Amino acid sequence: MRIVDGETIISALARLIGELVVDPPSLRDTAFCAPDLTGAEREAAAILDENLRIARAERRPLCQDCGMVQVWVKKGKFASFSGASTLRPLIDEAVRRAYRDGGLRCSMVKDPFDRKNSGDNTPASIHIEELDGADLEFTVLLKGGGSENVSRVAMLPPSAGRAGVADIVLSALREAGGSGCPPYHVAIGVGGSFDTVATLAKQALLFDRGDDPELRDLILRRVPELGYGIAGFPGVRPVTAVRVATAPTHIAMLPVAVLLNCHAFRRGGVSL
Amino acid sequence: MRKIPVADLDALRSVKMGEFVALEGVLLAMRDRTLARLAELKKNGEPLPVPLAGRVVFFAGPTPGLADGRGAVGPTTSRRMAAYLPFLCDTGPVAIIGKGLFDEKDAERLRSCNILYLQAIGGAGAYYGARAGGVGAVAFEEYGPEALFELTVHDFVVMMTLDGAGAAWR
Repeated sequence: MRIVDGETIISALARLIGELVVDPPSLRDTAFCAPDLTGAEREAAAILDENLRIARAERRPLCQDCGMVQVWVKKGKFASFSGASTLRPLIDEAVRRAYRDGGLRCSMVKDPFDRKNSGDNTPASIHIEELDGADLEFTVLLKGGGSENVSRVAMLPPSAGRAGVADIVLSALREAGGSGCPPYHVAIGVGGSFDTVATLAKQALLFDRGDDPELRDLILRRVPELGYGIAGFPGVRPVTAVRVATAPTHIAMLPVAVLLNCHAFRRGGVSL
Repeated sequence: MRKIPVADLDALRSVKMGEFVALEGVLLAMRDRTLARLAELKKNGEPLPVPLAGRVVFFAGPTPGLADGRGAVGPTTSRRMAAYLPFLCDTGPVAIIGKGLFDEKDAERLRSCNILYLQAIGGAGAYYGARAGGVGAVAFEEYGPEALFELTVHDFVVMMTLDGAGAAWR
């Protein structure tokens, strides 16, 4: 059994979050301006490029919504850790340090109805995947509320097929418009069940899943019908990328999850 | 790009739909929780901590670092605030800044009570943070990022979406 020091986990995750807020590896090669953009969409693209530059140069958060922290852990059966009996307190302590001590915006409320802020951006959303071996890997996504709010799950009949799935994706994108900060990273889960399909979409986003290129291409062909672009302004770039993950499902079902991520795609990982 | 002082109501009302302008002055930043509280105060006939008449309301919740010159601020989704439009119509801000479009019936409500709507670029928190000179919570500090803030801005680029002549960007 390999034992990873708990403090090492906390400090590595806190450091990773601090980096994702200002200069995530997932945006290092991003440029929003492109020759085919015109008018208001071009103005918005130039502002987003300037935003990336300022965030990097001045170490300012890219977005005031510093996100809900979503952590996906891949834990080998021969890997364990010290400092706590489960990973939850270690991960939440990392979140606490990164946000409360790092001057980041804390956006979590303790109760969905009384809406009182937890004050340290905890709890993180945690998913633990068990694997063979002795690796311990953390993939972290900082997810803003605007784009999470325009995501959706639908339970389709199997007869709907790829065309029906594409309809749901296009309708989610149409309704999202400029509200969730396009250009969107679209992540689609297909299959599983009501609860697992949303997790599947998240896996597509976290691990660049490219299942079913036929569905991806069908969606990309239909993107121009949306008619809007960056910032929701009339234009041509509502979508940056489409990622798809599929899984086995029931004979009666075709579950679909459409997870939209804003242009501030803040994803990174650490292996300990 | 024209520079428009937010206190100059005539200049604000002269901006045409689709025009990008650079705002200068003090905005009132608020979002879900402050709006809910303000609407409740108004309903109960109690005084508001700050009058909204003639002010520019910015749907936003800044990061704490903004006060030290290393923070971020940017627009949040406007249509989520649709429930508070009757309250805003009653209290008379000159304009609202947010992101995304309102539904047609909500745009019509804004039009009917002479409130302009401008869009800032969603997710450009560092860009706008570098254009925000000062920030201070003026009420409901206990709400954290959802407090009511005064935010001093310069060269704050926004696009007119529902203008003084009632023309709306779609």
